[in-house]
Amino acid sequence: MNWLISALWPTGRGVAAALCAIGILHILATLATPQLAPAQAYGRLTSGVPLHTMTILPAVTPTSQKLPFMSSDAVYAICPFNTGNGPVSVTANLPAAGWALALYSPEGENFYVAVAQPGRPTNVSLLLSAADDRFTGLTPQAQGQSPRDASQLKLPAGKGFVLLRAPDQGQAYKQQNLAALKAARCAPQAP
Amino acid sequence: MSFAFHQFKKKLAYITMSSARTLAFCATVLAGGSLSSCYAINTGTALTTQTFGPWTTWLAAGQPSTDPYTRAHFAALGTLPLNSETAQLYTARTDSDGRRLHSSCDYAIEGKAMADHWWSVSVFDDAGRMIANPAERYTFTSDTIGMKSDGSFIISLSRDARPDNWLPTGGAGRLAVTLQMLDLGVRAVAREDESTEKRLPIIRRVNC
Repeated sequence: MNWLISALWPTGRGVAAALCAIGILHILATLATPQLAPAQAYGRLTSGVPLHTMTILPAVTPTSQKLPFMSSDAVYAICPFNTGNGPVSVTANLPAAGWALALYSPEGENFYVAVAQPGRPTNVSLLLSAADDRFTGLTPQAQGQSPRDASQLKLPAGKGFVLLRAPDQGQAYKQQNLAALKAARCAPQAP
Repeated sequence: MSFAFHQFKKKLAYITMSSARTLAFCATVLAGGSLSSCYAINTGTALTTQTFGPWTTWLAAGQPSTDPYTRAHFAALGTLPLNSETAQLYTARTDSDGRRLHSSCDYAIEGKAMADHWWSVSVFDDAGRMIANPAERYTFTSDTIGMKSDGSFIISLSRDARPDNWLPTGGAGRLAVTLQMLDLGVRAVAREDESTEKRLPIIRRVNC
């Protein structure tokens, strides 16, 4: 047995090589995990939801819960978008504290979020366009027209989805919140 | 003949030793690399998470420029967190004394109103599934919770019905409690110095 222990006893060079290899494997495993995850949250949430349409998801219950740790503390509306064929316009009204509008990339990055301020409704108006959009003509101002909406925020985004979140404020607010969710718009910008 | 046999034995011993050494090296590397990666992704480290009592939060959750560990954590979990610059998600799997949360015990989540945040407290099983219950109670928000007159609240976690703010835990086994906070951007200057730990609710085991 002693001969086996002495044979396996690591040398300084062996320990250094093992540490290097452990580090490389650690990095590779960490970087590969997002690609190897069995079902991406993006796919599960947007499956069956039409592109460029704000769709209200069923209330979150144990049988309809789409993602782990997705709570019934809110009702959600989502709109998958793709700016490949032109800009997409998103408008929503966030009437009370707890409301939020978030934009996600397919990788799950929340690259934009607007949260309602307490005591006053917050209007959100976004124009999503492809990050590599090039100048293809004169701007409305240069053509002597007024800009479509001066308060509209322009964001570079390729593909992803809009998540509108209406908080659970109790039964009394349910219809009001559903109406505000239905009023939200997400559609390709008219030429 | 005996010389040839001796040479063969020597060669065999050398091959065996080399194989054992290679196997040991590979096993060490595989175990070390994958276990350390698993730990950093699932549990987090001081670089990626912050712990306040029983509550743990991932510092760069949802952010576009997040670190690979946070990205891998939420990809493996299959969730889509809000950007942690605006919304903080705290998860507790133990009570304030460090004992694992379990549906066979009763707990009281005790906290104070957080006027500068909209917040919700939800209970899940260990895998993040909602716990089905006839009362259809899964969460309390800052809008739906019953507060005391002094601005504090208590949420009861138990299998059996409790008065006031009760979240049923059924027979879910190990539990996870989440606290979602949305920053409303109205933080008063006087509260800036109040530590996060003091503001987060405590989880007290009532009986087991």
